[in-house]
Amino acid sequence: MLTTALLSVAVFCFWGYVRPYLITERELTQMFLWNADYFMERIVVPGGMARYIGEWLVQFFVYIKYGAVIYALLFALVQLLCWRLTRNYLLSLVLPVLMWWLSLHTDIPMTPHVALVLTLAAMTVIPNKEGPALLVSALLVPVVYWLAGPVAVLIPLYHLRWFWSHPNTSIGEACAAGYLLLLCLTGSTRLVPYPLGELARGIDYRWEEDIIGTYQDMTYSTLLRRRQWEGLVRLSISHPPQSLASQNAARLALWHTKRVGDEALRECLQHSRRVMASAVTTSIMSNVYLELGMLNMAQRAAFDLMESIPNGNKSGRAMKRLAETALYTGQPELALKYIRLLEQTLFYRKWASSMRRFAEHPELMESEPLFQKYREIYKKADDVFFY
Amino acid sequence: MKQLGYIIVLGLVALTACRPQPRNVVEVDTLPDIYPDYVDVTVPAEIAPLNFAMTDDSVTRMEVEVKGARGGFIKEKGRLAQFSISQWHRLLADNKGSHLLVTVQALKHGQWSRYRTFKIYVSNDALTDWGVTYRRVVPGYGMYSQMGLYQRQLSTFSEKALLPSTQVSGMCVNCHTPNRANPDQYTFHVRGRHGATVICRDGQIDILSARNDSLGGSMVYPCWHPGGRYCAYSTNVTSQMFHLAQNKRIEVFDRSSDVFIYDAESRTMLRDSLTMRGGWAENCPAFSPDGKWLYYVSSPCQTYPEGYDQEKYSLCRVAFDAQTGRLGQQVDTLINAAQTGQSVSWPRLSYDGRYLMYTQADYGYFTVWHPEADLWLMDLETGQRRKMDEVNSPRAESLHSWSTDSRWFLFTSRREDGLYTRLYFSSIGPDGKATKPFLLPQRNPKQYYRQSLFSFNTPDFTIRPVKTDRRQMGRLIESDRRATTNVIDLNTTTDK
Repeated sequence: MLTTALLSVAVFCFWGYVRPYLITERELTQMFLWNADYFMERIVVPGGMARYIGEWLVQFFVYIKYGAVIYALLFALVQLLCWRLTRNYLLSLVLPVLMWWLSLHTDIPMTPHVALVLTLAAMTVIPNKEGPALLVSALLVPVVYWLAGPVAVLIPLYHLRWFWSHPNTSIGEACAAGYLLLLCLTGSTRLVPYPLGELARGIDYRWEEDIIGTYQDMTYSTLLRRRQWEGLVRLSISHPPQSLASQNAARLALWHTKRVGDEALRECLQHSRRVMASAVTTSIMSNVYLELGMLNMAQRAAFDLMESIPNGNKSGRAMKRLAETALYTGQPELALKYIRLLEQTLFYRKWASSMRRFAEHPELMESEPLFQKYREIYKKADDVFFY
Repeated sequence: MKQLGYIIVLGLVALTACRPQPRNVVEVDTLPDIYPDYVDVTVPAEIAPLNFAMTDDSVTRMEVEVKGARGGFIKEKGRLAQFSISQWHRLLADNKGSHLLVTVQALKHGQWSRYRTFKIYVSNDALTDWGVTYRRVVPGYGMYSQMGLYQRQLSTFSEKALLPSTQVSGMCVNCHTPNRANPDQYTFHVRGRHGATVICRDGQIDILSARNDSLGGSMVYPCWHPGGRYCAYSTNVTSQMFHLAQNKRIEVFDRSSDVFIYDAESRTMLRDSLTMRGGWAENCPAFSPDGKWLYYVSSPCQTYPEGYDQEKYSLCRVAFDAQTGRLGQQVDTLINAAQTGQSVSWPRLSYDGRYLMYTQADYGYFTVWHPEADLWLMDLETGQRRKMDEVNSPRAESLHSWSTDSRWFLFTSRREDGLYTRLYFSSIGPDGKATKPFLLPQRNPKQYYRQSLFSFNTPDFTIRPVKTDRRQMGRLIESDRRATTNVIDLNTTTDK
């Protein structure tokens, strides 16, 4: 228990204080909806349950502390399950450490972590006798494969423990369980529209590209969202921005604090494709464009951010931006569509509900200073083209 | 066991009793505000049930009675009018050529209201096609995460993926185009790492390179010759730029575009200088149903971004000889953009040869991004053309296709929210007038269309289900093995 407690505290402190923005920016790449369709869309593919639970957990990453607690509990659970299965403290730390390392990679979503927990939990019901163990595994392999994905390979591997302790034992059971998993894998290509290679790697185990972005960009992005201009200026001095988007964020902070003029601000804005190189830099640019009153570009950045998410997820934060820019630019029906979706989330619901009346009664925007400001800017803006 | 049965029956009775029945109903002298708007629409008897709900979310319950003018009756209760498919089809079959009378009672804030009865007309014209094919894609700027080609049976709610982008990782699949709604012959284009043009003819699949240097671009917008041997393609070098204001988002334009004929039998691209002129952008090819004419649009090339709104396409046609694969010597300009000041795109001829439907906008051809884009109809017997006010809306209408019997047509429109294109159907009467369009039915349309973040793109009818093996297709596309093609320059030189 002491090992588990120490591990949990270490994990909590790491995510809470050393890499906090990895938590919030992971949340950037999803919009968990509390409806049946959201669940059904996920559960119809192998590993879908793991993805669903993973995304359910990540919705709480809106707040750093919640995220840190979730990571701590998750890692502790893995450690406990590993200990239950191996009865070896050292071995029980191998998977949590591996998970820790994996969770630092932003191209690896929460799905494989949850898949591991589900699989380990399922493995705890495998009896300690070879015959019954094979029988239970024959039931577990297809179920765990569908719920958690190819990490179910741990079940056949678990059968090797007898061979490990008694080398004379047959590995037939492990081979049989492995063969069953292979059958599930190949059979699933007929059921779901994914190639075999993708199913073998796990549908949402790893994204093709690291689309989220660098930790430095995440830091700039967070300060920008909080409109901490002095903090951004200090950061730009201590850690000069590497990406064009972070440079724009720093320049915006300098402009807000009256250290540079308008001309300097507009540098690097127009070549939007180069600036928006990752999800986080695109998010930065959406905020920069909004601050500058470039509503169409703020909208575009939010849209591109959502569509850059490789697993087809939407982004709650981006959708919020789409809703507000739709209101500012006089598209209330469109804003209402986004608001209705946001109302099905846990953490954007309140904001969405507060915006609903403006979408349903656009005339109310006339009496709101913020709407007036942006709508006036939009009306007067020259139509410049961006590429 | 018997006791258990009684308990279940009593429970069900109790549950039913708890549901509010219409009492103290107030008569309202307006039509019900329902979603989708199926009031006074004309539908084929074969269409899937027109399920609907009240637009107002505060309505907690409805009672809907659908009576056939020639007999038959359906009653539905709940938040949603969700009709049984078999009952619906029986009712429509019994009332073909007549109409249904729909009476809606709705409960809102504890008060029942009965609205004016409306009609749904059941056309005498059968919908002979099995369903539709379309691409589902987000109306984005350049990035896309998931999309795919789908088919949907029109008499039910059954939708099936033909080729979702998950099957060919990271690919953009687009413009699935069958030959006269024949699912055995189609072509579509794939963009991305394993880009290709896929041509399928009666089970034989050719995968061509996405880009062809001799064309200067890829094979983009296709139209099959009715004979099935030839397919006209446009080849486009497409760019886009983004508006900062003006309530517009995107300008899609071609730095160059041409039209050529592909001979699928000899795998030869037939380039003709008549439709590949320097300084001109030719686009959106369409064969006439008799195969003797190739229609397309043409505009002088512009400089971008300055001249983006001066790119106005005229509607042209040129004779085509299916024996030789050659174009004629002379181009007819049917609608001259210099005279109308408007731009024509997406000409589509009805299969009976009577009408040509096209999209007209202020400029350009990528009309899905043009709120002013409307459908127009040209009567090929009289040469008269008119704006189809009966189906247009203040927002973009575009991408239309005819049913194989030429009695029905479909088109996409952004009328609901200005961004997400939806699929609408209408029919053409003997007088050339179109009926009020209806939205593609869904099992729970309010929920479906509210939740969906996809647009319906490049739709077409299909006479039977498309039988594509998506796994085989995915493997072929990802294999990067591409069929070798030849190029022949025909070099006809006649000025327009």
